[in-house]
Amino acid sequence: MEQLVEYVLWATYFFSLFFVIFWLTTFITEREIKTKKRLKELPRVTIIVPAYNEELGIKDTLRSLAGLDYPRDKMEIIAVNDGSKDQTAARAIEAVKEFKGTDIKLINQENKGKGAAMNTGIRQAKGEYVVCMDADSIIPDKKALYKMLPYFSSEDIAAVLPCLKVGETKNLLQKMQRYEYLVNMFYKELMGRLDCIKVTPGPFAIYRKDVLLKIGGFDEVFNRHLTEDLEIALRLQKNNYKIVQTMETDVLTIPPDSLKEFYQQRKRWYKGGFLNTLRYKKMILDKKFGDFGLFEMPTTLVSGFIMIALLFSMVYYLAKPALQAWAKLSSINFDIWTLLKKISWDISALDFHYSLIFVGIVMACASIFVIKRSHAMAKEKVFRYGAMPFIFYIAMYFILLAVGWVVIYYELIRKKEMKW
Amino acid sequence: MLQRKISKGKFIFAFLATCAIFALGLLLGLVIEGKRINYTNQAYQSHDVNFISSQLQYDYLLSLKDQNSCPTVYNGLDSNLFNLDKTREKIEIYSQDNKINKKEFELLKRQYALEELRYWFLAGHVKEVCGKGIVRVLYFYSDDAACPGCGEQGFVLNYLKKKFGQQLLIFSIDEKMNEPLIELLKGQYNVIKYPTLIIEGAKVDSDNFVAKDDLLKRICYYSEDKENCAAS
Repeated sequence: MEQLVEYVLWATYFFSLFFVIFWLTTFITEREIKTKKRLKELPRVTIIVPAYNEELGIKDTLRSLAGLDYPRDKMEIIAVNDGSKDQTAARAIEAVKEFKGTDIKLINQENKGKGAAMNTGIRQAKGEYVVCMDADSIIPDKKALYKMLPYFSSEDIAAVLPCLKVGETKNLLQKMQRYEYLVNMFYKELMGRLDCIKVTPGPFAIYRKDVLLKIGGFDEVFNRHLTEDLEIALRLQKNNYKIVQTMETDVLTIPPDSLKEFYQQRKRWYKGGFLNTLRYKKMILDKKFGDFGLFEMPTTLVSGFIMIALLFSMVYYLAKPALQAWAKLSSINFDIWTLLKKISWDISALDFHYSLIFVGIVMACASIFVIKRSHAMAKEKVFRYGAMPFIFYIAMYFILLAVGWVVIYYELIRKKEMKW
Repeated sequence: MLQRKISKGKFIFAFLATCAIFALGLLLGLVIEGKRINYTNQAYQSHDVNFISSQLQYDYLLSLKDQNSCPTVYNGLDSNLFNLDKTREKIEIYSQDNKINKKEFELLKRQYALEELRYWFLAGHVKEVCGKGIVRVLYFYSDDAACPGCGEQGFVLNYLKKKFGQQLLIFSIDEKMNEPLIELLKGQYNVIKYPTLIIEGAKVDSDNFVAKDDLLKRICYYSEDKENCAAS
């Protein structure tokens, strides 16, 4: 057993280090070649806000959209109420009345899922470009459209994504997620350089409408309760369209503030990622799709296994000595005082496991570099909320994620359905 | 349409760099293994000198029948055995981590097991001259698979050693050692399962391990330590 755990752990280290070195090599060698075109004439844009039970956030979202600096005759906002059971529709109507100068429409439909809500909006959209905006996010940059639209510099660019950041945080869980979001942005930016972006997240992703229509819009059936934003990205990749990640414009989102919500969200993301990757399994290791098929798709599949392997190894290495120590102490009726009274330290430099320490130091340095670079890229401070969230993020966060993966595999085995 | 590319160069570089970092780590491990072998070899020389010293102290006792020197001789024996045990425990750990130098570590383990037995014999001889004063425990242990109770047994013995100090001498023998003398002892005491304790020549075995209170009673049967044996 010990031998097996050791092999799994070393294999996990190897793959993790390989991925990190691959990213860093990409960071160093791949120059940014994002070109922008000058907008001779501003295109018409439709912003679609799919909403399900978003009474708390939808008005703020619509307010931030109404505040965008873009000609009113070139911008429309369509809020699609997907059969909410709360006051989402009422809040949206309030917003329509409040921001009269902006073209805001509200469409109510039966609950069909986020993909269907997006498709309803696309069918009504008059714009050449459609923007998906989650009803729990806000866009603080009023010039966002001016900054992002020029990135549609060629016909093969189907989507342009903003830098997704965490807004105000209330607790440690949200502060840890802030690190994750920024590292993810760095990773996506790098993967964008290799045309390997695998998800176009909901908040303020801009799509070319004709491309969306050509590939059949958002998935309404398979991803009804899962990750339509991931599926659409995979379909764009399958049809050889380019997705551009920009760092110029920020979108703020509110991450889950409780473990229950956090796990609901992660279950949806990871399960969707895993199932959609399997759905597009023909792309895996297919040279026709370049780095996306050879690197990104397999990475999505193995990342969950790596997390779980790390979690189980850690539990094994912590639980085994802890149980042994408990059994030993109980065998002397917990007379710890006698042990402490005559304690003798005999530790020499040779007692440490240097191979492990060496690989660990290399991985820690690489991780710190990635965290620093991702913050620099997003113009954020690493210790914005002090050292504690950083320490917890480094030491604990992967445990939260790995537990999520364990739950997902369990549910996949049990074939349990998801709801959004 | 998007022109796809394969970053073959980056894949190869990342793979080779990862291999190089792992190879460096392994190399470092090998260097440390070499240092560990050197350290334990040097420590063995020191333990050997210590044994000669204890042996000469016994010869002195035997020739002069000077029982007043017994505490000093016991003290020397205890201190030497303590140091020997510390190094032996380190060798056990080093040997588990060891990947390449298996033969060297096996030889070292054998040397240290024999050294323990030399002390065990010597302690017996010293006790014959000095009479009561120490209790000798020969402890046969094995690996976790063959001896699930050995972890607890070793811990209980260490605990009692801390209580009794130099009056309790524990000699730990790895039953897996390929050493004829150990086989002879196992045969003599009919040691067939582990852990097995031989307290002053009397075999004590149990299904899992000998519990603290039981062991305390048995040690106190031979011991003059009034403080620790008052309750038993």
